[in-house]
Amino acid sequence: MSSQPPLFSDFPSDSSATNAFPLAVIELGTSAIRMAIGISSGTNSIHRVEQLVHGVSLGKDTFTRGEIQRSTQQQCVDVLKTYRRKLEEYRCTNPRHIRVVATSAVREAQNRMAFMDRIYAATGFNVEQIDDAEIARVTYLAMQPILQSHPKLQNAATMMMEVGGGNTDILILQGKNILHSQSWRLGALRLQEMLKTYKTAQTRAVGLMTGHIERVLEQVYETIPRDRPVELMALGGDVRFAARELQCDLNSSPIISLPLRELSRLTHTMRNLTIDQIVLKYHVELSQAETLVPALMTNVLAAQMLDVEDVLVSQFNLRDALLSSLLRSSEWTEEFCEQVIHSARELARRFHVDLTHAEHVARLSQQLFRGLQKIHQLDLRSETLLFIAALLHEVGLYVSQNAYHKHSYYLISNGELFGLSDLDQQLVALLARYHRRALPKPSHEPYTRLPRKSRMVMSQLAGILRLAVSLDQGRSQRIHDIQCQPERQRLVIGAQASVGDLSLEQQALRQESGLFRDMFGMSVLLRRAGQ
Amino acid sequence: MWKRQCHEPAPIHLVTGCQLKNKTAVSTEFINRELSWLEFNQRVLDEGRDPSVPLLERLNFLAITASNLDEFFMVRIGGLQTAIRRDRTIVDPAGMAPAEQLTTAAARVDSMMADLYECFLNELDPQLSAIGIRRRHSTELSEIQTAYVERVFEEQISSILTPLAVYDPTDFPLLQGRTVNVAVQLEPEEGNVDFRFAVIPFGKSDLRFITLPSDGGFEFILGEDLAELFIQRFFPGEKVISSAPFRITRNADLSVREDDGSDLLVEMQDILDERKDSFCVRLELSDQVTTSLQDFLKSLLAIDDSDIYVVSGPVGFSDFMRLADLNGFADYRYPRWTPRESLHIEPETSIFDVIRDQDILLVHPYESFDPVVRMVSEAADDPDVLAIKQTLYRTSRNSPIVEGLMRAAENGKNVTVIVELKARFDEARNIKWAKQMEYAGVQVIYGVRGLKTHGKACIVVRREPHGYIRYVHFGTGNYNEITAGLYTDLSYITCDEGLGSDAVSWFNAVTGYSQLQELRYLVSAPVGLREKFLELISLETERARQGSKARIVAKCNSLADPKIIRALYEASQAGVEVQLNIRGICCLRPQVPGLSDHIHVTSIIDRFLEHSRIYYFYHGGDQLVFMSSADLMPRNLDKRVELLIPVLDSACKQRVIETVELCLKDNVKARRILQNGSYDSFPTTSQPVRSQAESQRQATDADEIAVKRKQMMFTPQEPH
Repeated sequence: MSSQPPLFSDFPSDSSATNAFPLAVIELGTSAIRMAIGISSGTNSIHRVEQLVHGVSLGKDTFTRGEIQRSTQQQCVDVLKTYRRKLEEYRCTNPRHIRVVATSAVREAQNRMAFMDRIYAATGFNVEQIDDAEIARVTYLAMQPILQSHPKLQNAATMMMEVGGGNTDILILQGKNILHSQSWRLGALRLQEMLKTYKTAQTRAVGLMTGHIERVLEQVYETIPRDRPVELMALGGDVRFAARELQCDLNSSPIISLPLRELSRLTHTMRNLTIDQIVLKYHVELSQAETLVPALMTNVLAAQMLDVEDVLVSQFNLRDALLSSLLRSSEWTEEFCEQVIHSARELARRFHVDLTHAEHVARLSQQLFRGLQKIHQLDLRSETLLFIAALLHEVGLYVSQNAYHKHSYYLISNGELFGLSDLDQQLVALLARYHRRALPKPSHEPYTRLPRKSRMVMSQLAGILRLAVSLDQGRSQRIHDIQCQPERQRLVIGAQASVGDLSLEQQALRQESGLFRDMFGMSVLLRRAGQ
Repeated sequence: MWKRQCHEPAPIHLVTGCQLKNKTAVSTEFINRELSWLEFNQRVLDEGRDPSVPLLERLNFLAITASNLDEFFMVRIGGLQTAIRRDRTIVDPAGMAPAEQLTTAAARVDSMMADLYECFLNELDPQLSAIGIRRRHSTELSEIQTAYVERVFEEQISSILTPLAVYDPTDFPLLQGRTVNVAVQLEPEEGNVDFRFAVIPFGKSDLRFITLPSDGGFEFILGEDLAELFIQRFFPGEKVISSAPFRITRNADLSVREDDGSDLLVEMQDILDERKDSFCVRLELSDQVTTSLQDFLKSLLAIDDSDIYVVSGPVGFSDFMRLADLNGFADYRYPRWTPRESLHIEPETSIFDVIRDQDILLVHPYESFDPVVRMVSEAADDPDVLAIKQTLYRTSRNSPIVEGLMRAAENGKNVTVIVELKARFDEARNIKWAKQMEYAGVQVIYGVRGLKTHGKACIVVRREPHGYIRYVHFGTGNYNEITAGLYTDLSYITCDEGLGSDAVSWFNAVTGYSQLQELRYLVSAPVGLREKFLELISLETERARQGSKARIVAKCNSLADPKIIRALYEASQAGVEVQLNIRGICCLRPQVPGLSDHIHVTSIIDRFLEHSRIYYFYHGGDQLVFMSSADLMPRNLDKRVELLIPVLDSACKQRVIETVELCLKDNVKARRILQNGSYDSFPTTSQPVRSQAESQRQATDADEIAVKRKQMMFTPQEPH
């Protein structure tokens, strides 16, 4: 956790007036099941009180066989049962206070549904598959105060990297702004398994791994701005292990510097040891011993690529971030939304979107959205999704003029957008898809795949987006400000227009307001403000 | 007086302190651990031989010496004999093979037993008679007493004891170890030339000391004397030729097979059963034994001459501990000591409030163990307490701690207890506790597979206004309020967040909730405790090499780990001042020129058993102070789950430093350990310091201050 509040400060004398309650996060990772238990004092802070770890071979199963073996499933059930007992010790039984997440090893297993059902039946835990975007989102949110507190990172470009068992999550930041976020299929366990599949001899393994890691890192390198100093911030248990081995006290400050020279020397030493030797020499669990070398190699190679002298390491881990996210009623804070929008803008720029128009449409959408707030009652998340969709609605023009809304859908669905879950990203893509031409139909598969509530929200937002697009039909941004006046059966839009009449826009509105009318039950009237 | 029946060179009659000279020149680096232990036991015996010690305490020390020897035979000699039987010739760090160790140890035991019985028969027995504790031999009974014992025999003994006729080795009765038996030789049956034999086992019956009617004082006859007095009545119609008491000691060095997936509880019970008929490592015989009776026992027990010990007094001298415990006779004991309340603990205030205000350090037995018992007991009834976690290695018979834990579980708290079933000689009792606690709803865990859980910690998780606070007790001794009044130990009670968090992580690992994660403050064996010690020692060594002040102080029960000893030698060579206070085994050779010039070792044997383990490192003036459950022995560092606890609070740290410094100053009950492993008293010229008496004085003073303080302030009793 970013800042652990002092626990013993000024106790009120009345001990019955306790607001503290426990929260827990369980993570089914690639090589271990971990649990963090935190106590919330009723305010915004959480104090982590316990951390449990149990090695399991989920990643090994999934990455070699494609599915989780029965014995591993049983092992997971046994571990989760003991965790359940531990939670009872803290009287932590409220399901809203317990979050059980699974990362790539479960997500990619063919039998994940059966596995999660088995866990639910045996332990009552509802396992959530957490996707890369969510990991990036909670990581960013939890890391942000730390990043801001570190002067070195204020103006630098920071590559934040966590080498997991299955994937490596990379976040490129400029100051506190996110430039790029992506999860790469480069994981410590995956690398190990790759070597096993090819039956590589130990002597050749290092070369093979280096080549593989470098190929991925080259692609990452493209996304890093070159106009400023670059820092590497490494997350994850493996670098934390290295920090401890190199006698760096992780508790001394939120971020510590690990000299690359030493990290690379340690990695070099460990590279020549067998897994058993690593276990004996460094007193680590077998499951960790397997991932240490590939993970550290990835970090060293990344640092060498960036040409940094020190690797920054933080005590931070995913479970702490998830713990604090349990406390937040919504993660869609304005600050966070800004980051998501920032990353969308980067994507728009990459596809040469006419940003002047796009930003304008986005602003108009926002004004419409806010003006209709009382009617649709949607939250900041929906507003942000609409805003992003407006920024990106013409991204498909990069491919072709023809049916470009469909290209937009495709590009957004597959683009890297920070902070959006799979569902959010799908919503944004569909908004772009439906900003013109055909209305959503039952024959449109991606649309029907949406959950009902999301379907409804999407249609409402698409209705608004169509209005906004119509309002800048001339692409001249001459309607720069609007007021929305919902009246009984109609929505009156008062426009502050610079010059000329509004007939072009009125014409467009007539054509494009059908969806809006269907969703809100209101016709739309555009008139000059003050008329 | 007493002799050893073996064909080895006659036992050297030894002068205390010089026995080991020239005997263990095998290794210049280490002293053999068995011989070092025997030196320790000789120091215990010396307390018994010291005329300045009260009479009944002397008797007790003699009995302790014998009892210690019993365990020594069961475990150490048993182990060496097993090694020889299995033809394993593992040479110890001192360079001695098992057979050589056995021979040397036997010779040393010889002289010790000689000293013991000589002291008892020539000094203590007459003095005991003089104060009214009289042992009557069967020939010395008065008329009334004769009539009385006859009645006792007829009414009780004849019905309790059953003679078992022995015809051949295969139907030799199963005799319990460490109990008295009487062997009987009977005349051959008519028409037969062979003698017949029988054994009368006393078993666990309570017939060792039989009280006699007397005009005052306490007169008694030993059960075996009484049985022999009426021996003929056991065998009506036959002729008893001779009889003699004897006692056997069985090998107890059996280990649990934990490799298969079996139930440890069942395994442990099997071990206890197995111990009942494991091979015999020692036969003690009364010197009235005839050759044919001795030969009979020897062949039936399949024992070598070298394992037969013929004694001039009563066999099984450890039983005399009960005589030393006799009611009354207070003048012949140390004045009774009541542990004092700690100055920092108000009896009226909740223990949790006290701990929240300040860390508490208790030095037992000078200070009471009550706060620890209170911690569990208050927790059991406190509605805000959620969980209690605790390790139990050895505990008392009706332990209030166990009672508190069970009550807590019944009150719906989450109680997890690690009961170490493998605690040697306490297995049976621990199995009983374990079952009782499980019945009460306590989650009981039988330690860690393959390791003994020896670390002592108790954690109470309590919900408080701003979070969940962990109150932790760390100890150097067991959760046993009885021994806490007899052993010197430390208790450190704190709600420090870092220590609490580490303690919980450690507990999670030991109970199998989690893999062991990195601990910030605590260090645990078998992962990294030795490394930590070596690191701390080498840091001092490095400082000394750079010309800075460097000092290491250790107080523990045993020092036998070769790696640590070598590190200490190295430290000494670099100029580190090393002061060790080691009660028992010390395989390190102090003050050997060029090897250990700067290492000084002392050992204290006094009325309280020195038991606390304290480790101190000067560390450039920071003074790192640790307490621990661990001794510096390979078994502690490799085969046990131990804890090393840094004492963080500055006041508590100071207290620990004062405690250990006082022990180092002792020159009355302390002995200096010499190069060859023998020992020597301090010259009487210096100002005498007896650390235990001084600690008692300090505790009493503190107690008086507390009382006075209270008298100055009145607390009104308010209606609730």
